[in-house]
Amino acid sequence: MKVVMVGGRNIAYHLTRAFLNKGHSVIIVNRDEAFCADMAKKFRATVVHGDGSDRHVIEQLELARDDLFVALTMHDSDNLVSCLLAKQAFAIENTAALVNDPDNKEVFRRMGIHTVVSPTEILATAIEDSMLREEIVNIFPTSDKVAIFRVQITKESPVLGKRIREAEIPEEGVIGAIMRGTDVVIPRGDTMIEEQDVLIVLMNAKAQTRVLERLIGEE
Amino acid sequence: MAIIKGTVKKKEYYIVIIGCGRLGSRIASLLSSQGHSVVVVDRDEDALQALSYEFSGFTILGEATELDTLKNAKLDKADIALVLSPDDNTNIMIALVAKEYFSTPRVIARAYDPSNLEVFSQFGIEIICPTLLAVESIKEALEIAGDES
Repeated sequence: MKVVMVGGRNIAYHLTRAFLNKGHSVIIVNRDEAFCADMAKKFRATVVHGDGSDRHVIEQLELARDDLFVALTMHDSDNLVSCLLAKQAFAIENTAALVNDPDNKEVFRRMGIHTVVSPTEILATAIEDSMLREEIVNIFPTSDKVAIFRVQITKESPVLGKRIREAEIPEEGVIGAIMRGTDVVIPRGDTMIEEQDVLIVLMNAKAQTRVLERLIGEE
Repeated sequence: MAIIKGTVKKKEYYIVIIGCGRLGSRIASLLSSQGHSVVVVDRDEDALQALSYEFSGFTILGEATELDTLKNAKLDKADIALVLSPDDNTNIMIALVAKEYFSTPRVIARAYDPSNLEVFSQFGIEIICPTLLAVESIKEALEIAGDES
C-alpha cells in the first residue's frame, strides 16, 4: 500500500518513519523545497515538491483506490481540497485529514473524508483527563456517548471486598474485565473485587461521574 | 429590481457575502442599493468599515472558516452566498460548507487558479475565475478568434 502525505513538517517526518518501518511505500508532497530535499536525503520515500491542493500535482501521483491519502497542512481548507481532489482523481476510499478547528470535523465527514483528526480536540481531552483523579484513566476518549475507563481499586474504594452483584454499580455502567496481577478475570456476579484490582469499566458517558464515584468513592 | 437568474424568483434576496475586499465591497454596495438584504463577513474590521455609504446591510466581523461565524450570518436562511476571500482553497471550503452544511440554494465562489475549477463545479458550487475572465477580455480586446469560431 502507498501512503501519501501532503504538508505537515514534524508530523509528516515521524509518520514517514513509522510507515516505512511497517513496510509501506511513502510519497511526500510538500510546498517547502528545503524540507523536501531534507526528507529525500533521510528516507527511502518518493518526495514531490509541489502544492498538494493542485489537481495537476495530485493527478501525477498514480495512486490506486486502496492507497492511503493523508493531508496534514496547517490550513483546514487546503486539507479538504487535497482530500477531495484525491478522491476525485483516484476514487481513494481512505482519505485522512488533520483539522485545526474541531468544528470542521463534522464538515469534513460530510464531504466524505474517511478519517478526521483534530489535534486541538485530542489535546483538550488529554488536558481534561489530566485533571481526573490518579486512580482513573480514560482509555477510550473518542466518543461522547460511551466511555471506557481503567479504574484502580484502592483501600478507600466502597466496592472493595464486595461481590460484583452486591457492589451496587449504577445500571449505566458495567465492569468488562478485571486485571489482577498478571491475570485477567472476566467478572461474573460472584467475582470478588480485591485491592489492587484494575477494572476496565464501560459506561454511558452521561453517567460517568456516578459510576466512577461508586467504584472509587467520593472525593 | 433586478431578478437574479437560477434562484426562486423573489423581489428581495438574502445574500451573504464572504470577503470584503475590492470585489466583495463593490458587490455588497451594488446589491444593497438594489434593495436586497446583504450581510458582509470579513475578519478585518478596517475592510468592513471601508464599505461605501450606499451599503445599508449588516456586517459581521469574524473568520468565515468557522461554523459559528457562518451561523451568525444566518447562512441557513440565505438565498445566495458569494464567497470572495483572497484564498482559493478557503473559498472552496466555505462554498462547500454553504452548500452541504447550510443548504444554501446558490453558492458562487471566486478562484484565481483555473486548474481546480471542473472538480469543484461537480459539487454544485459555481466558480468564477478572474484569470479566465481576463483571458477572455484580452482575447476580445485583441480580436483573437477562438478555436470554436
